[in-house]
Amino acid sequence: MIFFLAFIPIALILFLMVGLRWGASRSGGVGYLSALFIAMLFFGASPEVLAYAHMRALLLTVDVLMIIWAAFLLYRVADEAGAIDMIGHALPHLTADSGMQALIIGWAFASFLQGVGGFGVPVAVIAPILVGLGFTPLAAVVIPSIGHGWAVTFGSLGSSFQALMAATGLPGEILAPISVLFLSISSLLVGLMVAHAADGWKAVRRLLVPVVVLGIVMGTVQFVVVTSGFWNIGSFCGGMAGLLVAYPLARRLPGKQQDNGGLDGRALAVALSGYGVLVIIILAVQLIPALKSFLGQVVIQVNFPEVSTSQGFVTPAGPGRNIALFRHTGTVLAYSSIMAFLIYRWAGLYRPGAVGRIVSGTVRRVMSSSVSIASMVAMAVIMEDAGMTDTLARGLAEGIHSLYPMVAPWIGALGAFMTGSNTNSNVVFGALQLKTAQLLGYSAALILAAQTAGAALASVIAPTKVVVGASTAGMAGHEGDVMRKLLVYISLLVLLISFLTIIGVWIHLSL
Amino acid sequence: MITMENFLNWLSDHKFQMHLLAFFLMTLPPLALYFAALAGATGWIWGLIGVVLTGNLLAILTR
Repeated sequence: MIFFLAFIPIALILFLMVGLRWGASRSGGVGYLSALFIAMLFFGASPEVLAYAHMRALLLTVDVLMIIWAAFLLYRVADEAGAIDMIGHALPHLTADSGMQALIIGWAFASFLQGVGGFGVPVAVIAPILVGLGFTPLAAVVIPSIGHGWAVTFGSLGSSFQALMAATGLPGEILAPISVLFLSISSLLVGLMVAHAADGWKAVRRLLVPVVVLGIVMGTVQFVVVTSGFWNIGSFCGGMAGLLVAYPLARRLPGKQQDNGGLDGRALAVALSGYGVLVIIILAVQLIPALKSFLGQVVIQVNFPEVSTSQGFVTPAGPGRNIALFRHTGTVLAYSSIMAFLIYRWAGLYRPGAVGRIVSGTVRRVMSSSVSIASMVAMAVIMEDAGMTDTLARGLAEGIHSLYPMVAPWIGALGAFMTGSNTNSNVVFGALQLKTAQLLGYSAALILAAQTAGAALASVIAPTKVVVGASTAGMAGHEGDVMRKLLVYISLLVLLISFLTIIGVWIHLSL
Repeated sequence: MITMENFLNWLSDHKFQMHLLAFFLMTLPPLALYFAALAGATGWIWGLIGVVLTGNLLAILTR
């Protein structure tokens, strides 16, 4: 009985988003209200427990939103300058082979865009380009949707991974290696699926070598970058490496047309320079100790006393999430946005009134997701501090026990499907998965890797993302067709993560 | 005439403003909640939770 009460907020979000097709901001509000009342009425959460939970939630919300806001600001700075269009339109000149175009644009470029932007941007930008190149609208939405899923956790400049760290309290050094390994391995299957979606099995056979080369390069670069501590630029570097390798690969597969037009190298270099600045600033902040310590002087930290519910669930005393204000990834992104803006302005890429359009476009675009993050984070923290998450974890541990490693990625996938994002899924289910793993004696890093990898790969099939993609490719009203097509591909990818998790558990137990 | 449907349509027409207001109602009270809890001011805690709750209600009503 108490298990089902604890499950109500999550079940409500699932029902409202999937069943009634409500948006994340409305569903998050219902999830918050239900968690609040259930915590008070059935789990004995006192006013003090609720008050501290709200403050803890605010810190986590700020931690995640700083990245989301700044990442989108950088994207708008580049988009307003026409840099995204410039990169997107330069790429088809490389080859006339439709399968190769799908790999370069729908996989490598989609991963690059996920690395720097996210929030549905890859599909929204790429689907119209693919339609223009002669792909069917359905294929134009499906290809980039599959193509960017593997890059979600370490994309959007790390916001989903930041959310996982915030929700579980575990550092990146523990969480990153297995998470990035799972996603890097899945990138190979993603490549094969992109080729299949573009031109069926014959494209898979024809493009096997480019898929393997691109998959290994992008996966390895992402793995090396993330495990070196630069988890916020993992997908960005992976996608960028894919674009660089795509050039010689495309020369080997030019397609039937030998003359595919020329590339405006200077324009492309200027367009990419905004993102080059991002890499330089992130590397400087991470690798120059004096700069790192100078920027890390101002830290927001709040100490919380021990509190307990009337049912005896104790939240121990300790600090909440620390936020190093001037060294935070979000702030670093803001520095990069300013630098990128200056470069693009120097190159004369802005029309009058650009600043206003960039700022208003950013604020309008992020407001709805900010509301949903605020309410869902509050819901998750109230559930955590009231002992609801603990109850759910114990119920799951007793119910599915040895099958849990197999199920863990599907829980993440379910969360991403219902909330529309890897970030939200990590916020809602991160603590639950951690507790369940601890109760069952599994490696927390392994189960949380399964959570975020499952969520990343399945986030592309969330109704909110599919609607955005379908509308930009002229498929509005046919979202069901897109979802049906994606369902098979995404199920196979999540299944792969299930098997990888089981292998991980087997290795962990045999050590 | 003001009906529930008209009110909901009005909220929907001003979606951005309503989300902005909801966001502030959700994120401004927690700091005061923290100090109210430290001071043991239960009345203040309920009042401030009521503000957060209102922000969430506003988000729910804004279609």
